[in-house]
Amino acid sequence: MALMTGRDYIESLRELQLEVYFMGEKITSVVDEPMFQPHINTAAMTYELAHDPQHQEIMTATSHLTGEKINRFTHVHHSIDDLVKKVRMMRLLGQKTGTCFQRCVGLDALNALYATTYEIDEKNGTTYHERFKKHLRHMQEKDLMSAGAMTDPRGDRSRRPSEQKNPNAYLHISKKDNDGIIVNGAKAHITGAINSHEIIALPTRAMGENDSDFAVAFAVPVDTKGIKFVFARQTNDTRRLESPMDAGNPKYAIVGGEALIIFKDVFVPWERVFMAGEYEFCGQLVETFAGHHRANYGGCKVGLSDVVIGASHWVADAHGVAKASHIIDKLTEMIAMAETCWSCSLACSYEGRKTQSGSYNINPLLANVTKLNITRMVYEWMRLSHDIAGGKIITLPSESDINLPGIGEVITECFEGKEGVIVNDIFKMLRLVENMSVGAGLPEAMHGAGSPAAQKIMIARRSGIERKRELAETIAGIRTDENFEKIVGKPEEEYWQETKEKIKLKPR
Amino acid sequence: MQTESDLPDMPDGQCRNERPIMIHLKYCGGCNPEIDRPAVVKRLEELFLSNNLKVEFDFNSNRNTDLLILVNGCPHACLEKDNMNSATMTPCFSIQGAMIDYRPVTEEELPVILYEKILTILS
Ligand SMILES: Cc1cc2nc3c(=O)[nH]c(=O)nc-3n(C[C@H](O)[C@H](O)[C@H](O)COP(=O)(O)OP(=O)(O)OC[C@H]3O[C@@H](n4cnc5c(N)ncnc54)[C@H](O)[C@@H]3O)c2cc1C
Repeated sequence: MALMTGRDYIESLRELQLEVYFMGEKITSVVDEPMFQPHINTAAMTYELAHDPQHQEIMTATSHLTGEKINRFTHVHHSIDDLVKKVRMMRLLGQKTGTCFQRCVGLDALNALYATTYEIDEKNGTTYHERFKKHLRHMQEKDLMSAGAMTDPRGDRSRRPSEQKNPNAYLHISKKDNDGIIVNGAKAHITGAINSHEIIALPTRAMGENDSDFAVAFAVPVDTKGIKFVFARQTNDTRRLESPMDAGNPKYAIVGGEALIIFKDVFVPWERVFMAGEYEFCGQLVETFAGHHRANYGGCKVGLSDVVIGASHWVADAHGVAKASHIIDKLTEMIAMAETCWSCSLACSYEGRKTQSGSYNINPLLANVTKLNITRMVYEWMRLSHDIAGGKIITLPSESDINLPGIGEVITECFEGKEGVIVNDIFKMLRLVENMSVGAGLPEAMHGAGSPAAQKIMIARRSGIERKRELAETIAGIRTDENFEKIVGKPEEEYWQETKEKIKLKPR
Repeated sequence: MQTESDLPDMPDGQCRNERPIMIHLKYCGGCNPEIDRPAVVKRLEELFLSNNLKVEFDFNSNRNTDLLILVNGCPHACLEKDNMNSATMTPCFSIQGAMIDYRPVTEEELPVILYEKILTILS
């Protein structure tokens, strides 16, 4: 069944029997758990909008494997237009949910594996790419959601995987036989893991020969034997069990709903293994994944900024200060920063290129710049939203107190704004600003898709500093400037000789 | 194709055309629209109806339609790349955000101008 609706997707999760723990309890039904429901609704939006004529143009794509119309979240980009539409889709979904819609990590993992398995096979004569294409087709035909599981717990970050005291600090192959591989270890902070159909595991860093057991990539259904999930806590998360208003964004929550995935003797059949020991390709796979993923952030987070800028303006207006020059200035600052990030996402997509496999990759330098800007600018525009919305975003009484007879009326009076604005709406909007700007959204902007140092490494590696030195040497006259010589019609040395003489002749 | 001049004047409430004007409507993806795209379309539909003209919009049309309307949310007009140079003879109109034929108009004027352009083509 291609192209599930939001409701189809939610119902499809009921068929999965996965083992999930949260707050000391084993969760019996993921779909019915109120702590998970907003995250599930958000992921459902990636399905629902694919049916909406107003958004199909970017939410769907044509499969290069089958020629069928598919959800863009299962598509391997085959043109610049695909790359651009992907980031447009990110912005749209950020606007529609105000939070992380989770499905991009799996999309980026699919794209990274498509390109890298092709290159492994070219070099080694293996058959990973054909296997992977079968998996991709399965994902497309069933319109499945994959959790992209790259980040290992990593223990002592200064040591390589093979040097760790605890081998489970990195997911690894414990055994290989004719049927497949057995893996052990964990993946940490995995977005949308409990409400995905599949997990795609990838290595998290470049590796050396001694790390070949850790050089492993595969896909498994989430309810594969031996897999356990531990759902993560977030700032103010249990408010959603207490009051929709206090939760801030009760429909879609905040961030993606992350989980620790524990793999204990998990069997993966060969047809689902896409790398098993090819350590020399880990760096490339990680870079390709990270590049695609970092490109997204100037889409999704800018979609969120559209919501938070709207909320900030709304609150300023409700408080009668929307026309104050410093408020207009701050909102303009927010917009300028957000559109800077958007420009980066568009640019790295428009500057993309074809890979050996025929799929398209973004421009990695520009994608890393995109994400580096996000690690700073999201904090800055959220800081401005605090400035505009006021301290009330963290001092509002609870919905229960607002509803309490005798005291509720007084509270309501205390939070009135300009005439004609419904106070309850002010409460809702302040809580939305709080939800989006005070909690988990900030560290997500910092560390999701990698910490800033990871982006700086990539930027430095691709900066072309040698070429910049050459440019400077040419302008400074240290290196021959052929264009200049053509303009002046003689060798530079001769030109300067003549010029010096002319200068000397000039009366001072 | 029926034309406007073929259509008889009818008493109020009755439609002048038996076969509805078939419009293939394409929305851009709507990543950051500068106009309320469905509102423009709704207003356009109302204009047809208030002039006693039956109209039918089709989103994913493989059927024969009288017109193609590209509803781009902004002047970048993503839809034009793939749809404007088509070999088909179907007349095509493109809204580019608050612009039509690359001329700025207000959002309120947009459906009215579009409606008038469509009638000109039909007659
Ligand atoms: C909300 C959220 C969602 C996420 N979703 C996913 C997901 O879906 N899939 C996925 O695979 N991952 C996901 N991640 C993981 C993300 O990629 C990591 O958080 C990120 O790579 C940083 O790792 P860490 O959090 O363990 O921090 P750390 O690695 O502990 O980083 C802390 C600091 O240490 C520095 N550091 C780390 N290692 C070294 C080193 N070797 N040398 C020098 N300095 C070092 C870092 O630069 C940073 O400054 C998510 C993260 C967040 C916060």
